[in-house]
Amino acid sequence: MFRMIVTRLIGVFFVLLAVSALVFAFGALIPGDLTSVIVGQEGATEEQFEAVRQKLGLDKPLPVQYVNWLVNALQGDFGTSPITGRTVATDLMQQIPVSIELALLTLLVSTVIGLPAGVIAAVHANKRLDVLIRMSLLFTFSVPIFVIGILLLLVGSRWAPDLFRVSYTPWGEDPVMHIRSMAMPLLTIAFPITAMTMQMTRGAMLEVLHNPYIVTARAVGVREKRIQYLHALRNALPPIVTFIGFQLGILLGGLIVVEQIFSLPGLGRGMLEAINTRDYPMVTATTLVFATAFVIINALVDMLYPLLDPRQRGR
Amino acid sequence: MATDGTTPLLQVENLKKQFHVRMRGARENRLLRAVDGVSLHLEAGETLGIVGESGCGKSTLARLIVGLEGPSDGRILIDGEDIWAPGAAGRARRRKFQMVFQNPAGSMNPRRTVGASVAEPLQAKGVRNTAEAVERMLTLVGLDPALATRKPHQLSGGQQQRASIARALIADPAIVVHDESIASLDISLQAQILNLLLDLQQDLGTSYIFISHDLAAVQAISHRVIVMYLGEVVEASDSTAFASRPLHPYSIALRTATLLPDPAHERGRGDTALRGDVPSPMNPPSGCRFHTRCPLATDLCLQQKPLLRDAGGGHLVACHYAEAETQAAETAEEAL
Amino acid sequence: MTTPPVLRVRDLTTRFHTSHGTVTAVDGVSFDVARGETLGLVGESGSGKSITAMSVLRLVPKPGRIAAGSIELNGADLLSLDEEEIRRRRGTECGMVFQNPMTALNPSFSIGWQMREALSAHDGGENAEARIHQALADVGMPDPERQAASFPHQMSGGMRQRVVIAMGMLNEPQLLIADEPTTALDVTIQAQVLNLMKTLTRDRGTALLLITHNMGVVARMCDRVAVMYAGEIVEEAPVDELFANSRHPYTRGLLRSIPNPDRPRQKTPTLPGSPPDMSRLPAGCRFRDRCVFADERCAKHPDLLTVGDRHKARCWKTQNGETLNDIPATEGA
Repeated sequence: MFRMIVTRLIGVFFVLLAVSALVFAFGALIPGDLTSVIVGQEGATEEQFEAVRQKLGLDKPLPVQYVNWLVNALQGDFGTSPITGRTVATDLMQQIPVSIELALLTLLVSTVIGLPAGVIAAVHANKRLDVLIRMSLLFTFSVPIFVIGILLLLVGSRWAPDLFRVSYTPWGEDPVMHIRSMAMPLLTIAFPITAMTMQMTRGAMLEVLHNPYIVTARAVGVREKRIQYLHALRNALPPIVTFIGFQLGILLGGLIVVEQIFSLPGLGRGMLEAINTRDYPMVTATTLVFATAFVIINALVDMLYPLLDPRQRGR
Repeated sequence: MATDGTTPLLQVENLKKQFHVRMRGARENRLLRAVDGVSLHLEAGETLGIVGESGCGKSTLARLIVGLEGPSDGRILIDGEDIWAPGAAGRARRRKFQMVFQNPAGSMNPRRTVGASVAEPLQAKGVRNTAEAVERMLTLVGLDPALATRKPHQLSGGQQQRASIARALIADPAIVVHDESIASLDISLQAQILNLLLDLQQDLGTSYIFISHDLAAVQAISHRVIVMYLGEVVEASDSTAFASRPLHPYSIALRTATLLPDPAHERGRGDTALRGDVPSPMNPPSGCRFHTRCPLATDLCLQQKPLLRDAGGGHLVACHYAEAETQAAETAEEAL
Repeated sequence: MTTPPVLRVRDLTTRFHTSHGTVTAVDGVSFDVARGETLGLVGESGSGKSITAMSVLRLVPKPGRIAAGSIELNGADLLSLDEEEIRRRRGTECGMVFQNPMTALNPSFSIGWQMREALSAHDGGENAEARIHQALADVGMPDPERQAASFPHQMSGGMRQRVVIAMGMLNEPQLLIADEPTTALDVTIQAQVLNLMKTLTRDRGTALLLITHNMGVVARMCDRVAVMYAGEIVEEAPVDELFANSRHPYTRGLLRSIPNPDRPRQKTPTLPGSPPDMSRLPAGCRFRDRCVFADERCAKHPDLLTVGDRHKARCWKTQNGETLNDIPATEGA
């Protein structure tokens, strides 16, 4: 078991290394580079151009640049943004918590609502309750996130401006305002994720509920609710948990949209801005953060399997 | 053994098949010796029955004989020639075998008609006009030829299995291997199929290898019987001799465990069941593999693996103490 | 009969409503099982024997529904109870053992956990560990403590079936229903499990309703036998009587379908045709199409009537006192 974790972590490390190289390479492929951003598009002489390039170390061969960048990054130094003048690390430190909070809350809400909804839908499969649950959640799933977001924005600002505060307030400043400012974005992104969790749970539960060991539990006198939420759900977890890992990809994309619509100072919005302003260091760094999060979470989910399924623990 | 000196139709010589198994979370691969040195022969027009329980390797043996898998060691000869000879020669020899599987529904393509599935082996041989052959074959196995246009799921289990048999026989193979081919059918249907196989053998002269865990079924159609345990042959004889005098303690246990429809007899037997579970084929016991469950086991059995020896009249058994047990069993039978 | 039977089933009818139509899987079935007795319920596909077993504890899978009849367990009619009342009787008054041990146990939980569930479902939490270990020892498991901590996938089929039996008997029910308990097991393991069941039920006086298609198992285990065909009981008799002197052509044919391991290369005389399509049953006697004795009487559906001492049969011929000895030469192919 321990051996497996270590192997997995080593694997993760190499994946991240490869990801960082890829990210860096893509950044280098973008036409133009940092120099043109700093120096401006016109009015610079060749010498000035070259001088800036040298100072930035952009005249060195690509692999050398990469190693330099990586060494710095590992120490927490992602460089300075030519646009904002601040270090990239500072901005990251401010944006990451916001995105993490939104992501975690979404996960929480979607699981707390989606899981039981899926169980109920499976138990009452093809009857009214099931149809109701599926239709309502899948409807929200079919509408794109940005449409839902903008609609909610409209509704919120028009009909309940006091209830929903649209600009972001940090928790430290005012907890109540904070909740009010996070509510709408959370709702926007939680709808489709909840729908997907529900659908996944329903599918997995339907398969499990047909198994003979469920009949054994019933024959032995276990209460029905306990059978559904413990005996059955426990066996349905592996595919659901896989899905939660997979969900993350969708979540990350949704974060970008939602943060933009609701002006939340998170990583997603930071990335969009950086791309728009050609803030190379920032773009590279935020891409790397997203990629790292994805890889690590999927690795964690993977390592969760033996915990969930005793058959995979090895004798 | 062929007494007149002619080569048997099928010869299997010291056949072995090993699998490397990696248990999840384990350090290294383990070796699963599914078939560990099996030799047998089959004459034309004869049925050889192979009986054994889980882990004995009979299904793997079936697949090896039919040529679905290659052996790790040993040879399979048909008409004296190796079926794994390279190229077209080997392929032609492997085509002389056909197989009938346990699951009748699963072994036919659900999207093709029954007629198309039955015709397949002929088409693989290059024959174009298969309709007549299909009709003839279906009638021969007791099916209405009109069923050829139906899909498998529209037939009952018994009908599906008859169709599988038709498919196996249509290209006139030399040997048909039945791997638990009746196990999933109702009892009345099992008996029907057994009778059908007897009739077909008489009409067509095909040789069968009939593999089953059901001793009664094996005895019903076999000329000779082989008993397998954990990848090895523990007893081999003709079925009549086996019926009157099984020699190996495992064979005796199998026979006793095969319950007869005779309440007085079954009640009177008491608890004669073997103790313990079948050992894992990945970790077979030392010496004689059956010693962990054998009522006759001694230290010798633990240390030294008994070889197959002739106990008289071609009746082979792999046991240090076989005859002693039979005499004891006979006395016990008389006492009953 | 001084003590009332543990189980008394009268006119049980269970139907399946599917999109293809309604199938009456169990049609007016009645039988008793007395304390300490083993009743065998025998039949092939479509006979309705498994659905009958599932109906007793109201475990029939959807879209099946019990349509009519009464099921009295220890005097209480199970069909008139509400969900909670029947749940309380499951495992405590009646236990079940199912067919396939490989799938009957939950793969995600240890054996001990699952057995504890069986106890705590009925507030039997105290002394649970000791009771579980004892139950495992009673079914012949070596090293019960270690087994209780292990998982189903770590056990062989025979061991799993022992666990299932232990779970079924854990709360000391008066009735045990075993649905093809040894069909999926190797024959040498089957022998062990059958012996175990015989010993347990005999020692505790448990009534046993044994569902099977194997007449050898019936011969070994049963005191009385009920033979089912197309959803009905067609014959019922004490075991010796049934084997020696069967009074229904189906039972006759079934008994003759069993190949004899001691007489090799003999054709097995058997029944022609195959079990009926339950969605299209013929009028009159349901066995008519396969029966070598059928005549004009069989156009009318026969009732199950007494034809001998505790011996009932659903056949005009035997009810009329005629014998089934002159079987025509057809062997069925």
